[in-house]
Amino acid sequence: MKMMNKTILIILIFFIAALALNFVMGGFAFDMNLLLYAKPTRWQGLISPYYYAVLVILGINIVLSVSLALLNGFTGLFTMGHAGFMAIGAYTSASIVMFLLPTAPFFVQMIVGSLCAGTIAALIGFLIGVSSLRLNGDYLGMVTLGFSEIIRIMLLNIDAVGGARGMTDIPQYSNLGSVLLLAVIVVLVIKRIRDGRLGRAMLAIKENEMAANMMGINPLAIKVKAFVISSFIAGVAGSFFAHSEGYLSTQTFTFVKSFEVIAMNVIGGLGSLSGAILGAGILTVLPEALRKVQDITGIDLRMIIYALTMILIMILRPQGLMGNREWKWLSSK
Amino acid sequence: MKWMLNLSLVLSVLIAVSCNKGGDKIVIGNFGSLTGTEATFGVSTRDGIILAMEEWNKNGGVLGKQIELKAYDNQGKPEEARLSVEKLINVDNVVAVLGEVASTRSLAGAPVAQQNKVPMISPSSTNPMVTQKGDYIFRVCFIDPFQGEVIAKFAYNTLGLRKAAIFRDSKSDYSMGLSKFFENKFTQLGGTIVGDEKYASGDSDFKAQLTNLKSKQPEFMYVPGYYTEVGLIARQARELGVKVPLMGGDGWDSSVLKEIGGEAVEGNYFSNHYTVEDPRPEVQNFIKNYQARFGTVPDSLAALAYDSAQVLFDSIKRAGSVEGPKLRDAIAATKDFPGVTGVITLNENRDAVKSAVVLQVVDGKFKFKETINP
Amino acid sequence: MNDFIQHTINGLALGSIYALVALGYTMVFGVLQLINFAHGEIFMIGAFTGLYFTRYVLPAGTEPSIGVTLMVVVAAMIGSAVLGVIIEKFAYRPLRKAPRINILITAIGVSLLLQYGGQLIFGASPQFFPKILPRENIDLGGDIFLDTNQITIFLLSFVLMVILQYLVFKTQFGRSMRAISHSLETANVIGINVNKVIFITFIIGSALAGAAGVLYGVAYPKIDPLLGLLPGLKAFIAAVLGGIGNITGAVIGAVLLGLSETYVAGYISSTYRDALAFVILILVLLLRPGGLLGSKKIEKV
Repeated sequence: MKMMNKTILIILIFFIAALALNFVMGGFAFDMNLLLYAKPTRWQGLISPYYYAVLVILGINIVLSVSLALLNGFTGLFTMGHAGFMAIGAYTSASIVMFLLPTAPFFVQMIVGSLCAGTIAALIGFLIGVSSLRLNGDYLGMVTLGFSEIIRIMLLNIDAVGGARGMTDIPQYSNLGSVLLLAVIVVLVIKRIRDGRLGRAMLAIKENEMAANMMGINPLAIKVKAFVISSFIAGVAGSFFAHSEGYLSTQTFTFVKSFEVIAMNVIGGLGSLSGAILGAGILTVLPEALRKVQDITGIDLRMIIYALTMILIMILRPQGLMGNREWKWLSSK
Repeated sequence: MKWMLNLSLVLSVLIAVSCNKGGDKIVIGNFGSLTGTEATFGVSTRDGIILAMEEWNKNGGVLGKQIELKAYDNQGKPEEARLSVEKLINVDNVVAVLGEVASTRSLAGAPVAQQNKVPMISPSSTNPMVTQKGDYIFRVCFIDPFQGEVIAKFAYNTLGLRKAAIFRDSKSDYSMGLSKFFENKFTQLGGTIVGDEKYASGDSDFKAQLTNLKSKQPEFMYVPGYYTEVGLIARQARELGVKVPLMGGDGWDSSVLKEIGGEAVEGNYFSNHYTVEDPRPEVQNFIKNYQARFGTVPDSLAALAYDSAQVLFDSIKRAGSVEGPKLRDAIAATKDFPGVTGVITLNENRDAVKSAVVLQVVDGKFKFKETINP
Repeated sequence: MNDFIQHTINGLALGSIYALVALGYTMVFGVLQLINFAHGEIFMIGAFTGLYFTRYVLPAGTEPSIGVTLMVVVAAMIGSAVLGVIIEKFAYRPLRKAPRINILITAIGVSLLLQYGGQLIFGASPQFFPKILPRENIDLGGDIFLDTNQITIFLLSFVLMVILQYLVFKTQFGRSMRAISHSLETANVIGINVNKVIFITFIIGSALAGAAGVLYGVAYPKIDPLLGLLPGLKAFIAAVLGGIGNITGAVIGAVLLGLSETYVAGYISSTYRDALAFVILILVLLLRPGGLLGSKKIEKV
């Protein structure tokens, strides 16, 4: 049985790897067909705009996944409302840039927009955190899910941000460079937090809240801090998302989005920063890479394969792909 | 371990090579929600396009080449819609994009088509903003302002009704848009709106709102939603003793409405693009062929998708080229094209100018009542 | 006043539908402490089993009657129970010792798999659920209407509640179940066959979901593969409201939820009707985490 599990797991990983490899090869000039047929005007430097767009989304997903890892992985707080914070950030930033700073230079828009997005999201995160952090486990998850859905339904009914139609013509100044820069900064900041005093306190709470309390750590204060930092980053990610998509609709921020971010964490390995990044990579690339499978089979099996992968990884490798390990450049030593 | 790596390499190269055949074919793209809550609309749309494509291919294709369709799923998410348009245009090199149903996802995808100068025709996005995204964006359906007015005029002028209640879908831009323009026109004509309630698509219990609307004693209810909900709404309205007619828009046009609504949808009215009673061969052949190919009666989304593909192929033929700018001009010049959903002429806003018909459900059939011109 | 009576009737009917789903939910949670996200999909499969059973197994032109309804309900219960057992065996059992979040993610995965698999197999378009129960619309006078289906469903959820209550508190199986819910390890030590009890719990919980699926189809004759999403979530909220793991609580919570949704849509605003369930969820969890009938202790993990 163990042997079989292992074999299935290896096949699964190779399947993912093959798809990812295939996808990446398409992205660069390795793909002969692309090289031959793609029009030169449609290339932004080395990569085609499609892969460019996927990479931007990958960057944003890494930011989201890593910020959730701070809560889920390091502090042991199970939340299911990340889509809500992202939505707040996205809509705040888009509104501020479009209604208050329509003529400002783009870097002013970017800095003010993303900082405001982060701040408002952090504020809401603080309120939700303070009111619900006494809860534990799945209950905290359900409360944050509830808050996130309420946020979405409220946004849906505000006409100033487009209501059901969505918000259009948002300035698209986020590019791959700025998103990747953001991702790197966020990863390094989270790594620093993890390795610092705050991170050790978080870990203590995760392992044993009562013991941490006796050692002089105030669990509530630490948890609220984690909540505020995480929602701030999710808000910033939302801002970058808004300004790379150029269009916002509440359809994006359903609880399915929150699940996706959780799945990134869990598949990569809860408690591992590298795992959060790896998980974001897999769950961003897999659905896109699976479009090729659709070409072959003619029917859309994407979501089915996606769901199966999620289940199989959970059963065959419950600790996630990375487990507790880190890549060298992210390990604490 | 190593052989596995090799195997996966070979596998991925195989997949890569097998997928990008090109050259002797004209590739068109479609993006829609083939899975998720709105899948039924996306599937109808794709099937309509497939039918049109197969008919052209049987007759030798267009410009002597066979047509191939790439249809991508976006799960009903706007960000996936944008990505799939990027992929269609930049990886699959499609000559034109057909889609989406929901205005929200058309609005997400349209800027990409515009930037890359690849024409995009939306079969059924009715929000006026969609074609304002640029001069490469077209549509073959009528827009919300016109369709909202149709029922207002019909109810006020033809039926002589003065008090309306609105029951709209707060999640759907289509339903909100139609309601708004209906309300404007109906009050401008001199009618009054006595009640206004909302539901969210996906709900299945509407009795609370219907009880409220009923107590306002309207002479009719305007329910501009999709057939997926309207059947149940009609049923529950009748169960609550609502006797006044319900009216709606082209989202009602599906055999599913009659199945689910049953007796309850009898006598109700809705605006539509065409009527199945229309003796024109375009209409009759389409219905016959669609049923033969897919085994179901086409809904209005399938008909519109079929028309959008027809307009596209006809334009490619007229342009004699699949280059973006030339094709764009040819599509823009579409005039008096005999489509299933009416005679299509695209105006300077790249919107279709068509007359609408009002249909009534009688004995399980959609009976023609009246034509209303723009 | 007439409106109020009508709203109350509507709310009770809606609540009894939620109750049917919530009963199965609360049972599984009581034993495994698992939010079984796939419960909504088991419910959906129940509705589809009922649909196909009526369409292909029953002779064409079968007149609607209580007997036919019972047959369809039993078929759906069997279909759902089989599915529930398969899910338990292959998805949840291997994870019994894994962290809770893994089981939760697996549950979400199973739920997605069934939704999208359902769209592939049954088609994405909504289908009409055939009429299997004779229904009559009773005019109570004063413009108030009551539907016989509403009475049937209401009574049925009450009966099921009583049966379950008996099962849990009066039988040997119920005792084992409660022991496991108290502490899985201890139950194991004192010689209870944990796997068997969980297995049976899943059979009962899923069969209940199957029955609920058919009755849902009877009440709202439109079914599609994503049908389970919203009722599943609402049923969970109802179960939390009543005190999760508590059978009477689930029914009371469901009825309260149905009533408050109807009243809010009727008297305050239909815009925020869907948000209401979540507001209730948050308030209950913050103010009284054990639910209305549950104990006050905050659950430890």
